[in-house]
Order: sequence, then C-alpha cells, then structure tokens
Amino acid sequence: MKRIAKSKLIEFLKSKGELWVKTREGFQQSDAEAFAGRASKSVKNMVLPREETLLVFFKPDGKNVDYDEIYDDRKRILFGLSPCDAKSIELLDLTFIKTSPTDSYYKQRRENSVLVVLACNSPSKTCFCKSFGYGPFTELGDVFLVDIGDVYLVKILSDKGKALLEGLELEDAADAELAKLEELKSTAESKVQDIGIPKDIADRLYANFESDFWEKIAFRCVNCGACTFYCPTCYCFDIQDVERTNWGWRERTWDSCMFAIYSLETSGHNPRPTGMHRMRNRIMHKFSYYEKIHGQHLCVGCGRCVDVCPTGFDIREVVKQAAKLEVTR
Amino acid sequence: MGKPKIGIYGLTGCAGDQLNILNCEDELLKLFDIFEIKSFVMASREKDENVQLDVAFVEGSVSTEKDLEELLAIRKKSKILVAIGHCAIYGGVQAMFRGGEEWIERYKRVYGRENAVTLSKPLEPKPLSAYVKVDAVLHGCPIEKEPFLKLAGKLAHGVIPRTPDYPVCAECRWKENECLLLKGQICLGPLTNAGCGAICPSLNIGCIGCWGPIREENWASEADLLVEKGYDIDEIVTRFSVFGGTERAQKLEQFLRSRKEKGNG
Repeated sequence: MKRIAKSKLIEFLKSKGELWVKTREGFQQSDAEAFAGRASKSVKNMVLPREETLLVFFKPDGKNVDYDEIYDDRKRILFGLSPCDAKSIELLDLTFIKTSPTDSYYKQRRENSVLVVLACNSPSKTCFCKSFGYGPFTELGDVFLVDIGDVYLVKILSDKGKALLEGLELEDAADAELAKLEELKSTAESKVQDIGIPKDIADRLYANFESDFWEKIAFRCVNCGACTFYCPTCYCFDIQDVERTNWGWRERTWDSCMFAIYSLETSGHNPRPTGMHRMRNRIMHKFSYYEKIHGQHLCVGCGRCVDVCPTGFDIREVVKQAAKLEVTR
Repeated sequence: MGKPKIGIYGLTGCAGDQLNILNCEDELLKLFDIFEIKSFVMASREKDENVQLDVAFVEGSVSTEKDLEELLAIRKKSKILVAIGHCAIYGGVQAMFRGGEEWIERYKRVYGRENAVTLSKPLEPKPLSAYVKVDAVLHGCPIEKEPFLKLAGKLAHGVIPRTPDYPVCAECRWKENECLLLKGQICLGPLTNAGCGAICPSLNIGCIGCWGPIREENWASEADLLVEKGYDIDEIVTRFSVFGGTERAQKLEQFLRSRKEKGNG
C-alpha cells in the first residue's frame, strides 16, 4: 500500500482528464472529494447512459438513406466508485463485452473510463454486499483507494491504473496508517449483512417456477420500475427511431422489465402478461438465469432497490423466503 | 404519392390539445411541409370537409349529439383516426362523477332545469372509442409537443405508432427523483400514463393522474398504500376518479370499504 495527500491526488487527477467524482447523490463532473460510502445513484449512468443517440439518419437526396454512427469518445476518470459500483461494472462487462456479440457503444465508453475505486467506509442500512463474496473493502477497479482522513492509501491494480498515476509520486504507507485501514475495514464489514444466499438458489427457483410464491411477492408491486432504474446491474434497454421530415435519429434508453410493454410482441401476444410474470422474471434473471449463463448472480447487494421501492419490496426478504422453498415439487 | 392529407378536430373539451399543436412553433412549418392540412379550425377558417383524409386527429369527448354526428362523419372519411388528449381517450374530467345516477339528474343540478341549454342535445360524456374505432392514441392533458411530433413523424412515414404503455414513475424514477409516495404524499404516478416527463413529481407535487390510467395498473396496492399512510378513503377515491373515470372509482371505493369492514383497511 502507498499513500498520498488527498488534495494532491485530486489536483493530479484533474490534470489528467475529465474528472467525474462520486458524491452522496451520484457521479458529477467536479473536483470535490469523493464520498466514501454508497451513493444514492449508482455508476451505471456513466457506462450505460440513461439515454444516448446511437446514430443519425438522413436522406440527402430525398431518396436514399444515409447515416452516421455516433460514438462517445470522451476519456473519463471515474473517481470514488464504491466496490459495489466496480462489481456491477464487472457484471455489465460480462454481458456487453465478454459475451458475443459485443456492444460497441458500451465497449468504447468502457475502454475510455478509468475506474478509481474508493473503499466504502460507511455502508448503508440496506447494504448486503457480503452475501456475494466480496465486501466494502474488496480491492477492485484500476486503482484502489482507502480514505483514512487527510490521506488516501493507494494500490494500483491494472495497467490502466498505472498509466493514470504515471508521474505521481507515491510514498509508502506508515504502519499506523495500515492499522487505521484494518480498523475502518472491520467497522465497515460489521455494518454489512450477509443474507445467506443458498448455493442452489438457481435450481430452487426453477423448481418453484409455478409456485404461488411469485403471486405473493408480486401482489403489492405497482410496476413503477424504480428498482430497475436504480439497480446498477439492470442493463435492459430500448432502442427507438425518432423520425422527422427527412431525417431522424436512433436513440437508446434504459428500459424496465417491470412494464407490460417491455415484453409485448408485435403480434400482440405478451409472454409476460401480468405483474407476477414480470416479477418472477426479474428475480429469476438475477438469481437463476444469469448464474446459469455467466456463473454469477446479477446482484451486487447494494440495497438501492430496497431503499427506493414505494411499497417496501425487499429483495433480501425474497431471497430469504426463497431459501425456505422446497426443492422437489 | 402526394402528401398525406390530415384534419385536426375538436369535440367537447378545452381545446388545449389543438392549441399545443399550434404551439409547436419552430416545427409547425415543417409539419405543413409533410402534411396537407385540410381542416384545422383553430389555425385557419379555410377548410375542406369534402375530401378523404389519411389521418384525422380528434380531441375532446363526445358530450352532445352534435359531437357524435361530427365524429361519425370524421370516422367515415378518414383512414386513420387518432384520439388526442385525455378527453378523447378517456372522456376527460367531464366523464368523472360519483354515484350511479343518470346524467339528466346532474344536468338539472347544474343548470337548474331540463333543456336549459338548447345548442345540442347532451349525452353522457364518453371517449371516442365508445362510438367509433380508434386507430391510435396520443396521451396528454393537454398533449405535449415532443410526443406529438414523434407521432406525426411516424404517421408521415406510414407507420401507425404504438402508444407508450408505462407509468409516470418510469419517467420520474428514470430521472432518479425521490419518491413522493415514500415521503407520504398522494401521488398517482404508478397508475398514470407517462409522457409528461413527470413534470409535477419533479417539482415535488404528487401526480394527479391527468394523462389517464395505464392499462395494467395495480390500483389496489396503491390504494392500500395510501390508506396505510393515513389518507381518508373518500379523499383517495376522489383523487382516483378525477381523471380515472367512474367505473374505476366505484370499484376502488367498494374495495376499500370492504377492506375496512374486514378490519384490514
């Protein structure tokens, strides 16, 4: 572990490029100190924006269609991601880059972003990251930092991180500072729940596909979609063409599987016609389907969906209840 | 192929939807570029009602016999009929009433006697779809410029657009606003058609539901939630009924009262 004064590092990062800092609310372009806890909004918007224009099309001669693809080639330094943010980007990478076909828009934005992760000193009440085999002090990203007061402890984890900090003089951390790290780490970890996800949860849910369990948990849902928008791992999107007289653009926006129109097919048939079907799909995507495909749960335990649900839906409770479901039916 | 011929009409309503089409300002001239406008009384007294139309936009509810005659004539000469605005799609605020009485009773209460207004025979206010086939709808109270232009763009390219079918919450939470329901305010966001950009909730004002109820609303859960937050059943039912129609409000009232009797409410 190395060390550096906070102001010195921020000054340095500012000189290296477009600096986006995680505040209490989420990421903002600024040169403030990063918030060492879980922000209310996740990092998702920085790599998979709420809305983006993919291409512009036009008819220069009134007949043939021509188009220009629009790529975001701005280089960004994302400063202060919490480990759950970094973990969620790992999961998004699995979907968009590491599995064919790759998403060229996501890939470009992702390659242009350096992740400076900051250990999470003050987890929220709803945090349950420990359930997924990592914690608030897990070293992730390109550079890993720990906020111990006026000083950041620094660890470079990748070539990208090395290139970012090239030219910055780092000192060796003192023993007292390392002791402080351990102290912060154990405090933070003690605040995070481990909800005890059963190893066989994927199969357990499959076995209960037709169970009335789903009807029960979906009963109160008002289909507002908040859980999916705040979720750092919910990556579903919609693409639409917006047409004007002789030109138009193709835009991509976040979408939510909690809406009826999401799964509606052109024929008029909807394979997920009711709220129960949509709730089942969301939970099973997170704890069954994704694991079957990628070997990981599509949840990082940030607890945002619990915080934002108007009806008090709690995914931790659902998992706990699922753990009690019978496997053979 | 020539330019598509269109007509823009208004039945009973505040004419706000037509006005918002006029308010498209910068884009309005382009609209005249792509469409041949045959009738748009709010914009020009010159009109031609004797041609077949490709698209008719109709706002307002059917509230008089004259409205009905006009609507039937429009339907007959139009390939595509688009209902624009809350009145045309749901019947509007005028379709809100509590209790099962005939319209004539309310009429007498308001005007003092029967036959007080003699312009045209009144009818129970109803949406266009109660009488004719509606091919597409554009939500709003009034409609918004951007969704209208999107819809017009699709129609100009020969596509009948699908209506967005998601709640105001989608736009509100999409903006990552703080939830007003969580703060204990009455907000009809989860039950209401999106498209407004969640203007009111973004300004800390609960959604009043003016874009009409979404197709798959979980009003039971929302009502339960409001009861839990301490709101009076009467207030909840009134809020629901303003833009949500009578039938829905009656179902809701029944639901809440039976809950209360059972002791769950």
